Amino acid sequence: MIDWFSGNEGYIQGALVAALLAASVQVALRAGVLSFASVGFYGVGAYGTGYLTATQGWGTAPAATVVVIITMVLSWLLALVLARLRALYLAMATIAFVLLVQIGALAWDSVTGGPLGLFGIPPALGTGGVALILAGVLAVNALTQRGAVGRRLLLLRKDEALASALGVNVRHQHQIAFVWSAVLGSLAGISQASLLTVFTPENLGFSVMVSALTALVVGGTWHWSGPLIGGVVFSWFLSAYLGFASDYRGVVEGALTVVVLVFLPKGLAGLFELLDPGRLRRAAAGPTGGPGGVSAGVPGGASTGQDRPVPAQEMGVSS
Amino acid sequence: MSQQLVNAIALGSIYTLFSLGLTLSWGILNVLNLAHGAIFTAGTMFAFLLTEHAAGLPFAVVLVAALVGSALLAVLMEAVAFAPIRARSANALDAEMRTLIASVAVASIIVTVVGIQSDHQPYALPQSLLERHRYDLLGVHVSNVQILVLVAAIVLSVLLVLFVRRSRYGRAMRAVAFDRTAAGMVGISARTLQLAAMALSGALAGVAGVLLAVYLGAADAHMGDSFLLKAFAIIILAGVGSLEGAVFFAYALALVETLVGYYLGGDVRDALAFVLIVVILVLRPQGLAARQGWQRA
Amino acid sequence: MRHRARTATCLLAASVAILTAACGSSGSSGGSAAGDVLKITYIADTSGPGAFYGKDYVAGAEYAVDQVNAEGGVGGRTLDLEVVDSASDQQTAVGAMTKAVKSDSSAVMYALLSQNALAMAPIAQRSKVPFIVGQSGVDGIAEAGDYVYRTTTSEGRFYEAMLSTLHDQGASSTAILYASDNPTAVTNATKTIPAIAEKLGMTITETVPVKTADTDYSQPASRIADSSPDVVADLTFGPAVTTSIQALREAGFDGPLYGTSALGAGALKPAGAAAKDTYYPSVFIPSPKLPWASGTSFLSEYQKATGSAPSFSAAGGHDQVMFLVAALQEIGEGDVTRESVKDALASVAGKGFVGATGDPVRFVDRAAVTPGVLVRWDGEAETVAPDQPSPLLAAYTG
Repeated sequence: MIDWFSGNEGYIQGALVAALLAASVQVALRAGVLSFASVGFYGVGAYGTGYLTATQGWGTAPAATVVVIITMVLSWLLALVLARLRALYLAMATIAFVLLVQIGALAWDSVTGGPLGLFGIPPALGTGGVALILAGVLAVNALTQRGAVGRRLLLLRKDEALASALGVNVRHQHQIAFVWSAVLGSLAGISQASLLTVFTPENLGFSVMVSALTALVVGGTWHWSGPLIGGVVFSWFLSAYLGFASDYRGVVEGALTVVVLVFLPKGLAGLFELLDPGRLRRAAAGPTGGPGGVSAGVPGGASTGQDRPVPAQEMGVSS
Repeated sequence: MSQQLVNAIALGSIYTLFSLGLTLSWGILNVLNLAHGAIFTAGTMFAFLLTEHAAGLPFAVVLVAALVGSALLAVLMEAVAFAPIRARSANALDAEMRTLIASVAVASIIVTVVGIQSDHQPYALPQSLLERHRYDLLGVHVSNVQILVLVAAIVLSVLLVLFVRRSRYGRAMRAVAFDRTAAGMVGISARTLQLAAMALSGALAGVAGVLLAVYLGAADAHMGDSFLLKAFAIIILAGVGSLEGAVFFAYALALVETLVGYYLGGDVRDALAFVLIVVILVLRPQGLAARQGWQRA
Repeated sequence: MRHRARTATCLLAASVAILTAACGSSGSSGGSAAGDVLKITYIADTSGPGAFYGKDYVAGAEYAVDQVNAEGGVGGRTLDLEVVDSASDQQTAVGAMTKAVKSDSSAVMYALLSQNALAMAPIAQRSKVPFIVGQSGVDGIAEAGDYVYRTTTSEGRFYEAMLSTLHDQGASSTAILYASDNPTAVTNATKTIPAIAEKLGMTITETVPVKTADTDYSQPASRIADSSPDVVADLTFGPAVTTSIQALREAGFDGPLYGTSALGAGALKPAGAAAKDTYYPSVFIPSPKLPWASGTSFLSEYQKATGSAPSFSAAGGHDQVMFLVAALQEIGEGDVTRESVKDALASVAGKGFVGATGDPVRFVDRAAVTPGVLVRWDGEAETVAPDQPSPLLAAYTG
């Protein structure tokens, strides 16, 4: 067990960071906010920690604390600026933000080390530390997926107008989700910098955004375990076990993603749900609690479903 | 300075060809198609393979073949990935996000295949396909490729604008861009319209890819990426779905980038498109060209 | 339902506790290997963007291992090279590295990307595993500590000889076009070349940064051509090489170009005739005119054994293995442990070893110093440039 673990430690580390990053996109998304800004804050977290520890000689704990506070302030300001944007427009603006962070990382030599990046970052957190951070994050996400908070989030992403009418401060909720998402991105960056001991502009940018989102969707967008499953599949299994086919990794990843998108709208997490006997019992007891939720989809166009009222059974059944 | 102007016009022409296809798919299908750059790259690969296996074909034939190949690829992507996903999505946000990711996944497949096909090395269309000539006009260097790119951009955008304004399909597309339930009123099914839009979008990407490969002299699997984000800036400046706006802002962005790059340096130029995206979205999300916002922003 | 949430959370917490415990108690393994077979892990980017060069590194390393084993191995032991693909991906490379240090490999080697090597080197040092890196031209890799070596000479070291050769041919001014997102190019464009130019009395007419992903080179090219330099440094990569050279020619610059080692192995082919008269330094090219004998004999033997000419990458992979073999010869019949290998590598590094890229390959601060060769692209093929000093690198003899 221990040998097995230590032999795979590098892949496990990759999976942990990928899961954190995927979770950062998830917490925004489940409040109805399609934002990639957390990937930019991944850069802020990694560079901030790297600069304070490797260049300024701080300890990792105070450095991480300061970086998280900076992330909260910056992301709250960004949330104010982007408050009016929704859906693809918000996605676009946050993609631009991530790329600006990357350009900044290349240009701001004195802090980021320019194209060479930062190295010699102290490996203080370790695999266990990062696993603890991820466990804490997933626990919070799992708890807020249910109960009053969970229902509010579901309402927010299904029907903003209704949420507003029911007295939910939509704007405020979106801001909270945005900041929480940024903090998770920042934690992923802090973890990555500490695990890898180096961080360069190549660790940032478009491809990071793509892998976070892909891991999330394949793992399961709406379930707290989705990011973990996605991180393990993409950063661990596909890295370690693809072997001779690794030249075709992009094809395997792409095809897997399309298949999951089309046939498993709830991602791989949805598979486990299907296997859960308790779920099947409930499904048998009442005709409304079908496992997929797919049947509710409106065929023939995306936008027509926009103002669809949320079916009561969907609100009640947490997945 | 007039040399910079010539350079900017050539760059703007490439931006135009690239952005037109992208704004079509965004405006009509509501897809943020991140595979557009990959289809563009695939166009160059189609052309490259054709010239490898059938040397001596005229340039026009290669161009048309790449156009058809790219259009088919885009239609395939719509049929296999986008349409089934839209049909199974719970709501608009879900559909937008999932088609966006599907486009990234398709891009990953295409880029990987092109990478393996090219041994992960740059590849070039043979020089004999289109001999490069340089003319000196009043102290300014102009190449025949630059002229070709400009002419292609003008002809194709005029044709596209006429098609969208005059033809039944075009009117249906415009109707859909304003009101998503309107397609049926013109007597064309939404399904046909979606496939047609993707085919057009892919064809434009393929043409742009081949022209760019000739203009630059070389291509590689990742060449589409940087254009994708420039094109997003152009579309957002113009307002999603606005063809005339996209043409105008393609040239405007190229000109401003060239000037900024000349006077303020490369870092500022690189940041320009992204800063514009954020600023325009925040201040005027319907774009600068559109008279009214037709989609809530 | 709520109950299940708690259970799940508790399960998760428990598994984390196990993970943490496992982590705390690990680190005791890490094999020493002695006996009949010595295992070496060779991690290389044999797929993805680095594959073109990475595959050749592996071919060179495998060739070297086959040669050594055919002659009965070293100190009575045969070598077993385990090749692992790092897929040009940092996370995969780090994963492979952590796996390798926990295996029974006596040494780990890696080629190609500096980005990955930078992250792998500290792991090797922390786990006390000898780590021999090929290519990866940035600073900070061999600096990780006494277990880490780099067997490829930094190309910046060759620039002085390259520029003085061009200077001797009558060039008195140069302009520089460089990829501002590549650390090696940035150092050479902003520090190395200006310092050399000053020493030689050459003027720098213009320095223009571009990005690897840039697509418009006409503007930078116009700026450079307008400054009328005698020669131009083109420090770009990938398709940008072709694009920038064609743009320079179209902007009216007709003089010689010079650039990075990455121009070797066919990068100039797409540019064709436009790239005629381009110079670049290399640690090795497959030419019988190579000015050191160990290089030409490697060329002919490799060709005989494999049927194809070795690229500079194959020579690099070969030399990584030969460095370790020299260390193993030093150990002889003695115990082979990771520590004894490290000590033997240090001893070999002090004297140098015979490799395809030099006889001997010397080391300064655990980074290789080899003679080098100036290459000229004649529009169709790479040739050893005429009138060059031998060795190219003056510091090599001194």
